[in-house]
Amino acid sequence: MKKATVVMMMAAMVASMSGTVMAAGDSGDTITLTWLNHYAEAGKQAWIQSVKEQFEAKYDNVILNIETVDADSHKTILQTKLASDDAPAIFDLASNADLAIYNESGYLADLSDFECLNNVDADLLKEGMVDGKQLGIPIELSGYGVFYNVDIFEQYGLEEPKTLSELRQICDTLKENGVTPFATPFAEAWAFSCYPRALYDEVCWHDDGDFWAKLMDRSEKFADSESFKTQMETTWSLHEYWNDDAFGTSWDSAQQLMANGEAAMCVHGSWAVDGITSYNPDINIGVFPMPVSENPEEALMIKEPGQQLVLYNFEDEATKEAARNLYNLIYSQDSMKVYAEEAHQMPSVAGDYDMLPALAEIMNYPSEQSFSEAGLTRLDSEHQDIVFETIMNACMGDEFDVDALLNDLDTAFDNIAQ
Amino acid sequence: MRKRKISVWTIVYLLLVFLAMAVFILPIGLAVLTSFKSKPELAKSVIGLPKALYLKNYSEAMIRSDFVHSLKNTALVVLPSVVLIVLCSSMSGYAVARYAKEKRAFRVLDKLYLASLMIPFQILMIPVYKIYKTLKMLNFLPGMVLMLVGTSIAYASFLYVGFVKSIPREIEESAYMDGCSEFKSFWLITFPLLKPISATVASLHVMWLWNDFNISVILLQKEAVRTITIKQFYFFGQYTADYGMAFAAAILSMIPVVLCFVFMQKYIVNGITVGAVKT
Amino acid sequence: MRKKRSISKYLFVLPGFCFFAFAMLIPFCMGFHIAFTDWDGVGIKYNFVGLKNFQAIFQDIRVRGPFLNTLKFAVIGTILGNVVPLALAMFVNGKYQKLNTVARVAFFIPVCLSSVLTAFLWKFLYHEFFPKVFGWKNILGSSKYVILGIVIIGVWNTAGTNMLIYLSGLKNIPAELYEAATVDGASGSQRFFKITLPLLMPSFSVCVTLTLTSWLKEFATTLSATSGGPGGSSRTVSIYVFENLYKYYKAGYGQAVSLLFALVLIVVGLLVSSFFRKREVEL
Repeated sequence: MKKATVVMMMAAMVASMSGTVMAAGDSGDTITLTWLNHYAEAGKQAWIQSVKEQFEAKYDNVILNIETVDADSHKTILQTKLASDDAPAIFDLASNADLAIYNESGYLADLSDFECLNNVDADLLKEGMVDGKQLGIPIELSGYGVFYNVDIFEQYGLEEPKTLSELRQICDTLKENGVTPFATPFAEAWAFSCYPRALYDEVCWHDDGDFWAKLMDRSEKFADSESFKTQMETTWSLHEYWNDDAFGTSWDSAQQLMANGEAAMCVHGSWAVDGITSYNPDINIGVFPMPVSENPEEALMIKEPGQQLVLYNFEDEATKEAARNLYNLIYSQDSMKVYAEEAHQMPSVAGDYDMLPALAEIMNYPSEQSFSEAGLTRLDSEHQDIVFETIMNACMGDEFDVDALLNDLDTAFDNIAQ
Repeated sequence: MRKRKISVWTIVYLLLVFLAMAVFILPIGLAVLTSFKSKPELAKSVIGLPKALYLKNYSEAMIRSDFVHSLKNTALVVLPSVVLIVLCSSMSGYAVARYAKEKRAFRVLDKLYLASLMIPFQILMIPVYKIYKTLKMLNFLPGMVLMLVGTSIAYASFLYVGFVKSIPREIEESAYMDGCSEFKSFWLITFPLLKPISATVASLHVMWLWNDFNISVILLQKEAVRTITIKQFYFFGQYTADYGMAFAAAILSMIPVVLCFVFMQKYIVNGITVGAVKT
Repeated sequence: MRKKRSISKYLFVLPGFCFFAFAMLIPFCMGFHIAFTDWDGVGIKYNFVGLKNFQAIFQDIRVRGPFLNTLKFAVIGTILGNVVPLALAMFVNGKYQKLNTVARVAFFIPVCLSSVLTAFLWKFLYHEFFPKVFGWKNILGSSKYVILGIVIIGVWNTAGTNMLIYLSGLKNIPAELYEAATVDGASGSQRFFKITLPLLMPSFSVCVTLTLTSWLKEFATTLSATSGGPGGSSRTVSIYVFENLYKYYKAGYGQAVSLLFALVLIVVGLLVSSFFRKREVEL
C-alpha cells in the first residue's frame, strides 16, 4: 500500500509540474499590460475580449493580459498585489475617496493628457479628479430612480408621478387592485441602500456639497439636519407599500416579483432593467425619478459615475504610451457600442447604441432634470455601512423612531472620529 | 438468524432515518431540478418540473468554466496534496499521541497546531503572496500543493492523535522486541491499523481542497492554472445570481468528489477491523 | 541506541512541521508587526503606533456587536454541530447494512459543497423555496433568528464530517461491552450513557474542539449568506476584521483585532481540548 501511494504521489507531482505554465517575464521589446478586472458577466467578458483582440491586432508589440476575478475578491486581490509590488497595469476603483487613498502612495498615473478624455461625458469626469489630476475615467454611469412596469401603469390608467402625494395615490390604486406597489429587496444591504438614497441624496446635497464630509469630520450632526430627518420620515412612511417580508426579500426575488407583474415598481439602480428583463423578455419597463417632496422640480434622475478605470504609475514611457493607446481604444465609440449592446450598461461615452429603452431614457435624461453625483464628497465605506445599517435597523421594527435613529447615527460617527 | 418481528422502535428508527435523509438530500435535489430550468421558467415556479430538459445551463457552464481544463488543474493540485497530508500528518499525529507524555516538545507542537487552527486566513494572505512572488511560485501548481498541505497539517494531525491512542501500544512494543526500528514498526504495523481514520482524513481533505477558494484565488491568477472552484465562482457573484447556471456549474464540479467518497467509504467502514485487532 | 531512538522521534513530525512552518508560521510572523502600525492596507508607508490599535479595540463600540454575535454562533453552532452528527452516526450504525450505506452517502453529500456554494443554495431555499412553497418568512431577514438560520446552513454542510468521526468512534467500541451490559440487564439509555458516551471521548475531544473553533472563526458561510446583515446582526468578528483589512482601509487596526481575538480563541481552544483529552480512555 505504501509503495502504491508513493508512486501515485510521484506521478501526480510530475504531472502537475509538466502541466504548469510559469509566469513569463518581459522578453525583448514586448510590453505586457495586465488588466485586473471583475467583469465576470458574459456580456462584459465579451466586451473585454473584443478589446483585447482589437488591441493586440493593432499593436503587435503589446500583450494585453486579462485577469478576471469574481467581484467579491477583487479588492482583496488588488491590495494583495499592490502590497507585494506586483501591481496590475490597469484596474478599477469605485469612488473618488478610493482614488485619493491610492494616489497618496503615488500608485496612479495622471491621465489628463489622454486623448480619449474628449469622448467621455464631461460631467462624469469630475469624479475621477484628485488634486486637479485626472486619475480615473468612468466606464459607465448608473441611474437611480423608480423602475416600473409600463403595462400595469397603463392598465390602471396611471401616469408617472412628480410629487410624493401623486406617488402615494398611485400606490393606493395599485394596492386596491391587488398589485404590490414596491418590490423591496431589503435582504441585501447594498440593495436596501438604493432606496433611502434615492430619497435623501439630492435633497441633502442640494444646499451643501460637503454635507457628508461635514458629518464625517463631526462639524455637523445628523440631529441638526432637518432635510435628512424629513427624508428619513418619508422613507418609513412608504413602508405600507413594500412587499411582504421586505427584509427577507433578495434582489433576485424582487426581480421575479417585477417580472411576473406581482409588483409594479422598484426603487433601484439602472442594472435592474437588464436583470428584470432576463426573467421576462417581454416585459415593458419604464423609469421615472423618485419624487422626494411636494415640489415636482425636486424629483431628479440621479446619475452616478460607475467604476473608474485607473492606470498604474509606470516610470517607463513606452509602457505608458501603450496604455494610452489602450485607453483610446477602450473609450472609442466602437468599443463602447459593444459594451452598451453586449453588457447592457450605459457607457460613459455618448453614441448611437441599440439599448434597452429605459436605459436609453436615463442616458438622455435632460440635464436640468438630472442630478449628477460626480465630484461630490461621499461617505467612505465604513461610514456608508453604518448609515445604511442604522437606517435598516430603524426600519425593521413596527415603530419608527426618527430621533433615536439620528441619535444612533451621531453616536456611531462620533465613535469612529475619535 | 435475524428476528423477523419488527418492533415499534425499529419503525421509529426507520422513520427518523428517512426523514433525516430527506432533509439532507432534498436541497440538492432542488438544485438539480433548478439547473434544468431557464430563467423565465424559474420565475414562474420554483418547484414546477421544467417543460423540457433545458440543457443550455450545463453546456454554457461547461464552456464558461473551461470545464475539462480546470478540472485537470484541480486534480493535479488536490491528489498530491491529499497523499502528502495523509503521510505527514499520520506520522506527526502518531508521534504526538505516543511521545507527548515524556517529551515536552511534542506537547508544545500539539498546542501550536491547535492554536494555528484559530488564525483567520485573511491575515496571512499578503505575507503568503509576498513569499510566493519572491520564490517565483505564483501560478505554479506544485507551489499551490505546498500551501494546501501546510494549511491542512494541523487539522489532520489533530484528527490522528485521538485515534492513535485507541491502538494498544503493546502491538508496537512487541515489534521493537523483534528488532524493528520505530519507522519500520510505524509503517508496517501502526499505519495499516490507521486505515479507517486515514480514509476519513483523505476523503475530508479531498472535499475541502477541492473546494478551496481562499488560497487558490490569490496564488493562481492565470487562466491556464485556474481550478474548477475559482472558475465556478464567477457564477455566484453578489450581484449576478443566475441560479440555474450556478447550480449546473456546481453539480458538474461535485460529481467527481461524490464518486470519490462513494469509493473511499468502504475503507472507512472497514474500520471495524481495528476493533478486531484489539481484542 | 536510546539516543538514536530519541532523534528518530522528531523525524516523525519533521516533514509535517516543514510544510506547516512554510504555510502558516512564517507568514504569520511576517504579518505580525502590522498590528502595531497605522497601515491602511494600500500604501507603501506606515508608522508604528505602539499599542494604540489595541487600546482602540476597547473603545470601539462597533466591535461589540460582532463579538456577541460570534459568541451566539459558537454556542448554537457547537451544540447543533455535535448533537446532529452524533445522531446521524448512530443512525448509520444500525442493523440494516444496505440502509447504513445509502444513508451514510446521503448525509455526507452536502460536505462535497463548499461553504459559499452551500450558502448560495440555502439562500435559494430561504428566499425562494420556503416562502413560495410553505409560506414561511425568510429567517435570514430577521435580526433575531438570522444566526440560527446560518447555523442550520453550516450544520447541514458540515454534519457529514463530524458524523464520520463519531462513526469511527462508534466502530471502535468493542461489541462485547454491549453484549455484557445487555446480559446484565442494562436498558438502552443506560448503555448509551454508561458505555457509548464515555468511550466516545476521543471523538468528542476532536469534534467539540474543532466545531467550537470553526464557529468562533465563522466567516465564509455568513459572508455569502447575509454579508453580516440584516443591519449587522450576523456580522462576526472575522467579518469585521476582513472589512477593516480590505474595505475600510484600516489594516493595522484589523490585524490588531484579529490578533487579540486569535489569542482568546487559543485560550478557549486549549481549555476545551484539555478538558476532553483528560477524559479520554486510553485502551
